[in-house]
Amino acid sequence: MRFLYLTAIVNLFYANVLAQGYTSGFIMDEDENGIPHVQVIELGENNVSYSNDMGAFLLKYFEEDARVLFVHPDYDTLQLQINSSTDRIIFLQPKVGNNNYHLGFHAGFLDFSTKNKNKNLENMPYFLGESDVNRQLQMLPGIEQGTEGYSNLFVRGGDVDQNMMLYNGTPIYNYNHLFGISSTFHNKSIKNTKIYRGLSPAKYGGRVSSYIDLESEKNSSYSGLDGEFEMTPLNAGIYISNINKGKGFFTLAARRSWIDLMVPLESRQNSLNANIYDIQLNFGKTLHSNDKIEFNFMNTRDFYFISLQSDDSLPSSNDTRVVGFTQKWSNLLASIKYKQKLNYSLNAEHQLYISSYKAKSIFKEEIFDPNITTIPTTQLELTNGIQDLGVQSNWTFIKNNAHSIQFGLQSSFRFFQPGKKIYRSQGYPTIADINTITGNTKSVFSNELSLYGEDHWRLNDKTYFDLGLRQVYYTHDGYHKLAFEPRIHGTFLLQHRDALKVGYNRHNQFLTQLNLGRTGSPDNIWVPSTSLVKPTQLDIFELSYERKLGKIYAGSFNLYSKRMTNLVGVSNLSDASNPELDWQSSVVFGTGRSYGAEWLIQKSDGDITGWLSYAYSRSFRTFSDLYDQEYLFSFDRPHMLKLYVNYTNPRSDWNFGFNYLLGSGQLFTLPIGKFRDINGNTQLEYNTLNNYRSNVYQRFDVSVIRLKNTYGLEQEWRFYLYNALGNINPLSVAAVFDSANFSKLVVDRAYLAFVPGVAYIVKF
Amino acid sequence: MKKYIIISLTFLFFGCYQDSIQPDLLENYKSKMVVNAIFTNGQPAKLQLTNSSAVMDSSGLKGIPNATVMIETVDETKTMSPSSGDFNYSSDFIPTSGKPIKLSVRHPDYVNVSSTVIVPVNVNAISTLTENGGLDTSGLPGDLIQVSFNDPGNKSNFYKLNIFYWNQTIGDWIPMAFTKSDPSLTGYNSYVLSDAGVIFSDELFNGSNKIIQTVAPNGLVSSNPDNKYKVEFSHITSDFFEYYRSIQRADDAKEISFNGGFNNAVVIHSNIDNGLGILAVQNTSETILK
Repeated sequence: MRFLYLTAIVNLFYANVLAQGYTSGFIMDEDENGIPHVQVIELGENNVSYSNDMGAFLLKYFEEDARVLFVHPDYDTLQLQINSSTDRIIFLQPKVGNNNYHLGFHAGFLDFSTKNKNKNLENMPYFLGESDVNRQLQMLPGIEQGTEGYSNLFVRGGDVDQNMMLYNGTPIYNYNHLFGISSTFHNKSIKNTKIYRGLSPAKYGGRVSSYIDLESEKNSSYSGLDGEFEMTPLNAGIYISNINKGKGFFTLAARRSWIDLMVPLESRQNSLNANIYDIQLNFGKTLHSNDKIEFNFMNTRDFYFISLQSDDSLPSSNDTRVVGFTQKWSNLLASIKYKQKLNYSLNAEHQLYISSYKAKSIFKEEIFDPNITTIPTTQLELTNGIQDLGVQSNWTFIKNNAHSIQFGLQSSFRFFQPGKKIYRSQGYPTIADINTITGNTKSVFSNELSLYGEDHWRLNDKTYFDLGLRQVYYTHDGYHKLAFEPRIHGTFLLQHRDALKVGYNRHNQFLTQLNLGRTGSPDNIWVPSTSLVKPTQLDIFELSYERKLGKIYAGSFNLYSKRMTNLVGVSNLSDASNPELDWQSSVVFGTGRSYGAEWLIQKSDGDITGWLSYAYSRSFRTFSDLYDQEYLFSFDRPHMLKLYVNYTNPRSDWNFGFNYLLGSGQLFTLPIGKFRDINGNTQLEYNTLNNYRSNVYQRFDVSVIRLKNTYGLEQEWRFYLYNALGNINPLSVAAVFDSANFSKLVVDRAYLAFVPGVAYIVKF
Repeated sequence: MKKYIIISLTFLFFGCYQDSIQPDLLENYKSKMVVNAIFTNGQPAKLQLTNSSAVMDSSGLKGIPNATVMIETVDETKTMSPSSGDFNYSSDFIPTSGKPIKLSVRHPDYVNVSSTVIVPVNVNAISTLTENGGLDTSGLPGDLIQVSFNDPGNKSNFYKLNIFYWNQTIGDWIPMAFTKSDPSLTGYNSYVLSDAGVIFSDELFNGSNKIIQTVAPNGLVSSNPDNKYKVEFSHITSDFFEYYRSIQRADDAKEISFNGGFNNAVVIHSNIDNGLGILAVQNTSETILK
């Protein structure tokens, strides 16, 4: 660590002493999108620099002033006389027939503002009418929803807990409402979604499957106040943004379910209640020093309550028993971020965040007996959750025209609550009150301290490398682990219309979510890596080829291979969910591998835009304690074709969009036979796990949007139909027996079809 | 109230359907031979042979009475004979530790099955009793039972421990629930079986002399004049361990009312090639503590 800081300081000194002038800034197109790979040349000198993936550049030179050329094959060359030591924004004029597809970023990276832009995602069909960032990602190649209808994300054969979802840089530990049916984000609170599906810069670490970086709106092409009100069958939501271009921002997004409010208050308190809400609040400002500061806050909650009155009391008794069950979970995220530009070649971004996730289940029984004065009450309360307190300092140092170095220090202090059980009993006439706490009465602590450095090395106008190393020091309860993670990536711009990328990464994950039956369930428990449950490790190799096709199309082809070790599975669901038992006694360990090929063709211009993707992917698991041989991962789908098309014309009264998916069916496990075991009991025979693949998956979703302006307000009615062709895409296939002897079997299948959705939106 | 619930659920579950299917996977099932046997050193070999049936088949499982069952070692070949018309087979073959045993079963209606095992070595288990030598789970004085043995190093070993107490009233040995107080038994690789025995691995004490101890409940055998406890300590094979562990997990999964991972499926371990079941082998020592 000291060596890295020392190197940075020495280099900084070196640069400041010898460099006499510089020009820096952003190179943009007419839509204010950054243009990567622009050559910035000092005329008459062999002095060249290049804009990075965001369009930022820095050219160092030794004259006070210089004539500078900005050269890119798709844009008109621009020559400027530039005073030294200035920051400026350079706009380039596209050539006729220019295709502005962004060839930069790592292999496997996708987002909706640079790589896959102008797709009008608001017109995508959404389940139940609820705009959902997760469902946008599910339409990308290599990302699967898992169980039909759910808003989960399985990336290239990885599990859900292997995705790190960041909201403005803060990790969120449960990004689902409604047990996994909807995401926790108001659609408008996300300006851009970025996803690293495997390879990533050294700045990202801590998960082995993907990094999903959600950024709220922080700047705009114009200043002003915007907002919209949205109503769907699930929620009523509002979004307000006030952008002061380049100077500051304020955004507020909030949703709350409304159906429960139709139910009388007394019923909600005593019988049945279910509601969800989420709120995202972001505020940022550019200071006089040109430093930037921002505050981000997010809170989500799901609440479900049902109470039943029991009438099965003894005839001799007059008591009435009321049994209630409450389940709730919540996320609380808060962060403060400070961005500094220390000098022309050194930038820093510091962040302090807290992310807290808590889930609670409460069973309560009250006895109303006219013969006694008290109300005997018993209550069982189960709690699990995690708190993450993080601090980061991320730096960028531009050493010279060829080398840009990113480095930083990140620390995550995690406090796990794997399970706490509180049992209370009070008011019983002949029994003393009881109040016991079992399980984990205190949180379990772990720390992940990461130091990383990465050199963006521009070899020439067509070749650059990102050579990084991330070093993680992990501690938990006497267990220490030092992990090294190479992050190597090379980009070869072949003819400036295409790029070949290749990379290798290692990632470690120092926490796991125990899946206690269903992905997305709040009962699932976050647990730390321990001396027994070792950190999960991933090695990934990826090769990609991207090409601009004509004026408005672009295509990409990716090949990847992943190998995962120290995967954790649950062997005993009931024991693992019992806080009184050590969860480590109920887990098994295994390995996994996956590989695949992905094609993506996109159209980014015109009234009709969208993309077509196909992924061939395989994913396997080996858990010798569950099955002797390798078996298919639960969400292995060899073939998946996805098509998203939208027609978006703000001048038209009607817009529309549709999704079409065609691919391999989902896997389920069914018994094939039965036999007698050594104790004389009947057991079921499985030839392997995940042995039954359901019929071909086919889904057609459609959205129709009615645009209407009345009273000076833009209004939209959005109508959706999920699985409009009524294909039978099972969300469950289960063997149901009539007795414990398995004498008669029925295989039940449940599926979703013709699911409607509607949303009403008013913009102001 | 009801109408509000219906309105709410309609929005959420409109478009959810259910039907029943008969997957191809479950048809064309071919019945297999199921071998269930525990070979113990120094005791005559016994075996039970039944069939498996398709999961869709509502008829019961049957024994297989007329199979040819052979036991081969480097020294001898023995045939196991069925009791008349029965599916229980026996032989005067006595397994000895350290020697490979090959079991093969043939029957014209089924695919031949076989299994090869080695009887584990004796680990010199010694059981001792100290009256009122410990505190039971209620904090009262109880009999301390200790079992010491030498775990062979450089390989994974597995064990099974059963403790019984003598019930003076009915005149028989009763399994005693084992308190897993030893750290080696509280880890993830230890299971309590339905016969109250515990199986465990040597992961935490590989290659060392190990003492496992437990304390019996206060006063459990205080009125016994003679026999008090019986300790059965077995050095078992990994297949034996895996089989019982999977049986235990399958039983646990049956108690879970919702569909967990893999539809609550547990694959029962087997070391029978082309068939099902287990040829479990153990080197057992039995000690009666008085």
